[in-house]
Amino acid sequence: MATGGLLSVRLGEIRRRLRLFAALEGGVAGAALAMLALAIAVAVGRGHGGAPGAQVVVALILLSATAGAGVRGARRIPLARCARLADAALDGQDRLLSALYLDTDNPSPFARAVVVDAVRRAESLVPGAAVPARRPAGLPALGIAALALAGATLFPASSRAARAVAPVPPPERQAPIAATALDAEREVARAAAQAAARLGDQRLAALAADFQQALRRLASGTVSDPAALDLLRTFEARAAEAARAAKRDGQAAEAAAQALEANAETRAAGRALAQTRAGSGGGDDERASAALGASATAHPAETARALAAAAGNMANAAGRQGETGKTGDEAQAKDQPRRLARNDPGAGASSESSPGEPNDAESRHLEQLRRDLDDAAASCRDGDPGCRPRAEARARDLARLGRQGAARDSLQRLQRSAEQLRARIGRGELGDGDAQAMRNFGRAANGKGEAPSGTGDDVSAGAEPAPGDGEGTGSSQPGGDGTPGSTGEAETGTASAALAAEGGSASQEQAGSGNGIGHQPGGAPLGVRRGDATATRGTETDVHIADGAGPGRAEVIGTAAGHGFASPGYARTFNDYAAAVEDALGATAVPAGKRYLVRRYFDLIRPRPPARVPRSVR
Amino acid sequence: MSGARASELDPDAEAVAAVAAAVSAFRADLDRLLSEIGRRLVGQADVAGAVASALLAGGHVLVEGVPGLGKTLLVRTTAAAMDLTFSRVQFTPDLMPADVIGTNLIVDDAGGRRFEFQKGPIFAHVVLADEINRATPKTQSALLEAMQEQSVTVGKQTYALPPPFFVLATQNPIEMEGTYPLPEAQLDRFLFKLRALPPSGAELHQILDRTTGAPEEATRVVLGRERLLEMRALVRQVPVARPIQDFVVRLVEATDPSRSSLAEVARFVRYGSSPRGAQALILGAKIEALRAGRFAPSFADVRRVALPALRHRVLLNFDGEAEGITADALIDKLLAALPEMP
Repeated sequence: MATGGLLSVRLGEIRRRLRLFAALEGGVAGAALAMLALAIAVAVGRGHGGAPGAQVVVALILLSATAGAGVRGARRIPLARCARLADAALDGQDRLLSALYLDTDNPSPFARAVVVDAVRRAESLVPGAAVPARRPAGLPALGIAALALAGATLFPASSRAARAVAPVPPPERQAPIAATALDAEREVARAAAQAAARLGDQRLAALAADFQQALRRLASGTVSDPAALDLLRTFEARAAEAARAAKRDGQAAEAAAQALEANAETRAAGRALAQTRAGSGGGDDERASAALGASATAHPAETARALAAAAGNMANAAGRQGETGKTGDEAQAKDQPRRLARNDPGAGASSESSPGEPNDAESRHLEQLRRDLDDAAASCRDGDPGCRPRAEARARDLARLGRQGAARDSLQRLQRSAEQLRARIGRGELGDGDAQAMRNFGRAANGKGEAPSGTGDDVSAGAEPAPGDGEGTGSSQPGGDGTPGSTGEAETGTASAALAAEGGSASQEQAGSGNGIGHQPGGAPLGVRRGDATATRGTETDVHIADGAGPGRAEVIGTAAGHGFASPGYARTFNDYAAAVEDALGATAVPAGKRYLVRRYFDLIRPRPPARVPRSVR
Repeated sequence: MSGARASELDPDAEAVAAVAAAVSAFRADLDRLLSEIGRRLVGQADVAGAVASALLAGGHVLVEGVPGLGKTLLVRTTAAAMDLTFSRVQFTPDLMPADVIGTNLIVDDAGGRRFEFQKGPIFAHVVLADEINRATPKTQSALLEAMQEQSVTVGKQTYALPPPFFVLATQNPIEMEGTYPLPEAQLDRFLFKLRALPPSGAELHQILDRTTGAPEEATRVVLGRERLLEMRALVRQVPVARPIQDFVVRLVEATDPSRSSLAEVARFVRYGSSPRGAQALILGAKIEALRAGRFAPSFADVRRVALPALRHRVLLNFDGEAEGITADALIDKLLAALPEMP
């Protein structure tokens, strides 16, 4: 049909224009994809010393653009879509679409009229009006991909050596911490530094310096809370490891000193060594060295026996330590770094050794000292002239070992202080919260405490033991013995528990009970937190509301009927009114067409056995 | 389009020109009818247009609105403008079917006594069934049977109703006490359900000016009965493109809660539209196209008649009634959600 042919021609023009723009879109998308892939390839290639050449890059981009254009341009475009676009450009009355479908072999006069009308209108239609030129949708992506490719090409990194180091983002800043908030920790660090200087222990000195530096960073606000937690966790692991090593050293030194004291000829040396273990400082080393040297000169055979016994005792002590290391506070001290190490992969290789057994590095120097003692004993036994200097050297070694053992307490205090500080940060107590805790502490100490609801457990809810109980007491003095299980002073324990409770009731605080863990300077945890102090004792119920909307009226009626209309009293009332309902329905007051609504309503609220209340309303 | 140009395009240019002339005449006659109605009736232009459409489509109309909005005047004027007979039946609870369709009376004459059928008010071209929901279902069904069959049966005798036969029934939405709402099956027999809205302030001024002054001149006859039947026949010739018909089919299917993709329909609708709804949509769209001087309906024509054609065919369930959902709102959502071409 001629008219239909004209219509097809016009729709064909629109389709060609659509196809052109689709191909353009496809080309842009293909080029963008190619550029993005090439940007990655160029970046990787240049990092490894080679990259595709410019000609290859251009060829690949053109190829991809052509492929994209071909794929998109070859897609089928129905004529109906072209007709709709043309109709939208005309008057939106679907004239061309109708004509397209009504242009059959034997059309009715009306259908002919539809086609003729459509053709007449299509004659005035410019294809550009139906499919206006538009910017390809993938143009922004192409621009980004081009920038990426340019960046990868022009990036000044042709070798690994010249590769710029990625800038380390500055640490996230926190609000500075109140000046007095870290006083307790500073005191611990200062005491540890003093002890390190007194004992000449480099390990303790290094840890004390690190702790002081960490405190300075925290106080200045240059480290975020998560970073501070990581920092303290690592430090805690190091301190725990050092404390364990110190304990082993101390035990070995003690065993050796006991062997020397047991022999009358070397007793003076043994006592001098015992004084070095007490950390008294001064010239203990030289005294022990001189005493053992004199003994070696005067009584080489006895000295040899004593040295051999010392070596044996050291070996025995190391063996006992391996057996008993899993019990008592030693096991606790060992378990803690292991637990920490799980959280911090970088906590140290030593944490991977089995608990109670010294790792290779730690056991090697003890084994070496034992062998040196045996050598010195053999030298003295054989009447070797080197007996005296060897004996003096071993005395100095044992003295150093003793001093390292004496640093154990300071190391433990550092570890606990870091642990408590970490717990405070975790609870968000630093800053204003810490000041509030201090104010609560002052009020509690003066018997003026108040009990903000929900922050502390009441007495009946499982408050921690009163002062004098084995758990939750400790010393507030720096350097005091804070070992859990030891008994502290009643007054200190009271205040500590009150501080730990942070807002517990006044009577609870005066009674000396609390549920938190204290952080007195140098002390052990002052109590054991029994669950979350703010935990409620109710039952949690999840209620899910779909799409943020409440239940519909029908659902409310249905839900109420499910659990609220089950009592015998309700059943009696309902039955009393059942007849009235039927009377009302029988009268003409209720339209017949609406009666089903009334019956449905009363059916919904009929008495029924109690049903399980739905826990969620969807 | 010029005749010469049409001849170049199509060998059957004369037929095309005849169609164009018929459509043009249809449009002019319909405009004159609506203009005459508008001369008597202030406002309610949409209702008047839909009533005229239903008359041309051969359907009947249910109008819902409070009293005093000009429903009776509308239908009386429509009948007068087309020189059609008109009767009005006020439906009441005690109205009997015989009061509507007529009854056999005993007549004495020279030949003796015999039964003679006395035609009821339904034997008119245009019947106004005022407040149809006040009559009992028995009387309602007598009327609705006549609407569907275009005839009434009394005893063993069937009487054909004179074409065109058009019923405009009214319902009062505020006084439901003592009424018998039409059953769904009977609602379906109305081509359109219309809502008469209160007049605006300006329209009210116009009403007062017209009704409280000098008597108005009588309604002029602008169309004859024969011309109305020709126009009806022309409506039936209007072709519908397959995509438009497909849209109508999908729209009607979407009102069915078991097949609809709209969650609200599945949740709040008890029954969707029957095939009569699709017929009403197509006929209404055809008349809309002719009114606009076009030869085939468009998607926009279907959308325009969707509410009056479907609102009484989308029946809400208990949840829908309880939530205060309206059929109009659901149909609007359907029209917004349904793509014209899949």
